Amino acid sequence: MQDGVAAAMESLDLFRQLTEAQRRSLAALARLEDLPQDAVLLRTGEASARLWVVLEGRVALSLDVPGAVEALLLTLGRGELVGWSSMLPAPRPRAVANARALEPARLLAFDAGDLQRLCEADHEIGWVVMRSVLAAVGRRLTETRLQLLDVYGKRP
Amino acid sequence: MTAQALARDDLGALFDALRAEGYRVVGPTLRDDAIVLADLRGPEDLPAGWTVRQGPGTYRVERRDDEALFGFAVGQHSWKGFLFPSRERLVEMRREDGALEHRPAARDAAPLAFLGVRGCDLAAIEVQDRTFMRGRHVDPGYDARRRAAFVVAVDCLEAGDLCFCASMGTGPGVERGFDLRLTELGPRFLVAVGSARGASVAARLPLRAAPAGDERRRRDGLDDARAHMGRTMQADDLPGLLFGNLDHPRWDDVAARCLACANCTLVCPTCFCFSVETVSDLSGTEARRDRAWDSCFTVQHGQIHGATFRPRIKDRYRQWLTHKLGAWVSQFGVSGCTGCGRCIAWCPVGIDLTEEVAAIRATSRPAVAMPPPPAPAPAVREPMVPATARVTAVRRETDDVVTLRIAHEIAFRPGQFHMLGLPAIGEVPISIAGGDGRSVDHTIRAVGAVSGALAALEPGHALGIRGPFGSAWPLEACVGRPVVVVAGGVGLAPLRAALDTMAARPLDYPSVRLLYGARTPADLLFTDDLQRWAADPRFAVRVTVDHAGADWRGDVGVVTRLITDVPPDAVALVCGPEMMMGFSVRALCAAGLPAERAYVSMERNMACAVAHCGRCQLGPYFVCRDGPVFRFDRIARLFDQEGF
Repeated sequence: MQDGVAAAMESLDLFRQLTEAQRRSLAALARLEDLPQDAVLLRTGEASARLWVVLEGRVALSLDVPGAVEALLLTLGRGELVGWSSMLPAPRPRAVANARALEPARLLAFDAGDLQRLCEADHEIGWVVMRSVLAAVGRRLTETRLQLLDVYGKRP
Repeated sequence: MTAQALARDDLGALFDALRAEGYRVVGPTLRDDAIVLADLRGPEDLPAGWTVRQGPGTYRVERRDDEALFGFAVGQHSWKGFLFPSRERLVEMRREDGALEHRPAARDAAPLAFLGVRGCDLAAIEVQDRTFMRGRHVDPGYDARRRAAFVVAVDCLEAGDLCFCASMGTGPGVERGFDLRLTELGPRFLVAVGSARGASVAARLPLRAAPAGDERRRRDGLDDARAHMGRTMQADDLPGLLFGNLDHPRWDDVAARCLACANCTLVCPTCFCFSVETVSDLSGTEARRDRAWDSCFTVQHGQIHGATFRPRIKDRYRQWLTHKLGAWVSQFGVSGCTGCGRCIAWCPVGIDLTEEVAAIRATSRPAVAMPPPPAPAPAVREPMVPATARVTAVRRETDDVVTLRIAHEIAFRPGQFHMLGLPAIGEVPISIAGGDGRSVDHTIRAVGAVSGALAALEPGHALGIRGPFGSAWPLEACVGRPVVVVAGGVGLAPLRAALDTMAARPLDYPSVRLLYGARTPADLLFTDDLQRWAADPRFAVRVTVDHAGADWRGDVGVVTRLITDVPPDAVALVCGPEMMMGFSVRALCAAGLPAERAYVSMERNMACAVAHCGRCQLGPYFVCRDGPVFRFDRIARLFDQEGF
């Protein structure tokens, strides 16, 4: 299993900045999760204790809209993070969206507590990890803004 | 041949000769305290002894201390009022019992003789000739009037307060392009013949040998006028200079003074922009399309379905000046300014373009390279008269989008567009979404009056169709390369024929990736085509929507998220809302694609589609003629420029 983790980490751009030794330290905290279609990773209102990286398949983020059908916000694919809010300082915010596997998916899962402790203990690793999280959040923010523009909508 | 002269007292003979040759004589006359151009009965209607005093925002007629007939500089009228009248009927339409007929409007082509055409104004006529007669499409009304017109030019031996023809190389003397030329030398006119028609009229005149020294007096007079120009302007480098300084603070300065009244464009002898209006009787049986002078200073000039491309006065003044002195050279091979000074005199706040140019030049950034004018192309006549065609099938794509199949035998290239119209409603540009030589498909979103009416057509209904127009997707440049097609919303329609071409030629297009973004799953076009393309092993089709319900199994998120792993030798074809195209090309370039291998399809306001109406300008280009498909690097500078 850990061989699979190492191979997966090596194949991701996300960890390319790390040395071999740093990657091994991180790999020690990770495990592979294989999820069937529609498996739930995160539920609205729960505080996430894990950070995932999608390896195969797609994960959908959705919002429960009272009185309406569930709205899909975003689908995430290979190399993208799920549950990044687990990397925020305590108290961890509760998820505002659901995350579920849109199809059978394989993910790399980190325990957020372990990961934060490693980042604290080794700032070299911490810097690379937090920068990757920030890059993912920043990209998510930009894309959300583009979605907000509603460029395909009818103009006034 | 010795120089010949006509006594001033014999000038009536010129009127008689012109009338005998069938011309109606028009020229300068004093009316309402201005020297205007109007029908002339004879020499007695010329403004003998009058001149004008002009300044920025000022025009006054004054008595001269002699009785000169042509001793004044140009006024608010120019000959464009006769060759390109401010209002003209273009097309007449009749719809009765399901039959629809389009015919060119009757034209009044009674030959005119223009008496007293100055150098700047003859140059202005030749500038407009390039717009209406020298491109691929010929305006038949202008062409007929221009060919029939007889030009009696007059040299300017005195320069006006606002003249700068010497800077623009259009005057003060008239050296070519006339039928007859007069040089007013006190009691007589020196007469030059410039054409066979001119010779025929001259043969009817009581000409005498000009006294020795008259030719020298002419040259001296022209030298004197040249030396006393009221204004000067260095113009040869202006295209690149102005387009290299689109963010110069002077644009804000002039915008604070400009009222956007459009006077400058109306008095300008070369401004040619027009709008097209549809007029009909109450029953809708008889309808017609008229054109009327428009101006880039109006809001509607740059407007399409609610969006305004030039919302601020700054955008509009900059559009006018960069077009007049810059883009014109790329579009027509000549500056749009002839140095007549009208726009300075008739500006109510006295904006002086020579001053504005000098201010920009004084603190300018480097000039940029400008595209060359297009090569002359074969002429198409009656480009504004639609063919009548019938809808054979209608397919509803989404709530507000339909695809019309129209029986119409025409060859087109994917990416081109047609003008589709209905007689009592109007005409709009719609891209060609497919065709087989016998029929064409047009996918139409109901967003305005015309598109709404087109989208409501049913099988058997008739409509007007003109075209095809414009540039095409570079399918030959894509041969043998991976092709990345990025489409947004109804932007898939102009790409559909290109995708079908690539699907039909497997050897030429080994790898096609279609990345398609839409608002919701319900807004996806051509779902059966998407499935058909996805089933082709050479095609990879990814669809993403901005919003979806839980039952959607595709991707959710902006279309740029799909732009990953772009092959380094790929060609990208991008079509969708302008903002989506901007983000997509940026993502493609970030993924390693050079901008010269990205192509986009642009949209601007269009009234004619034949590069006559001036409304679809995009810097040095017309979207209808040089686009809609552009190589991205050629328009990249304007793409991010607010107000274009």
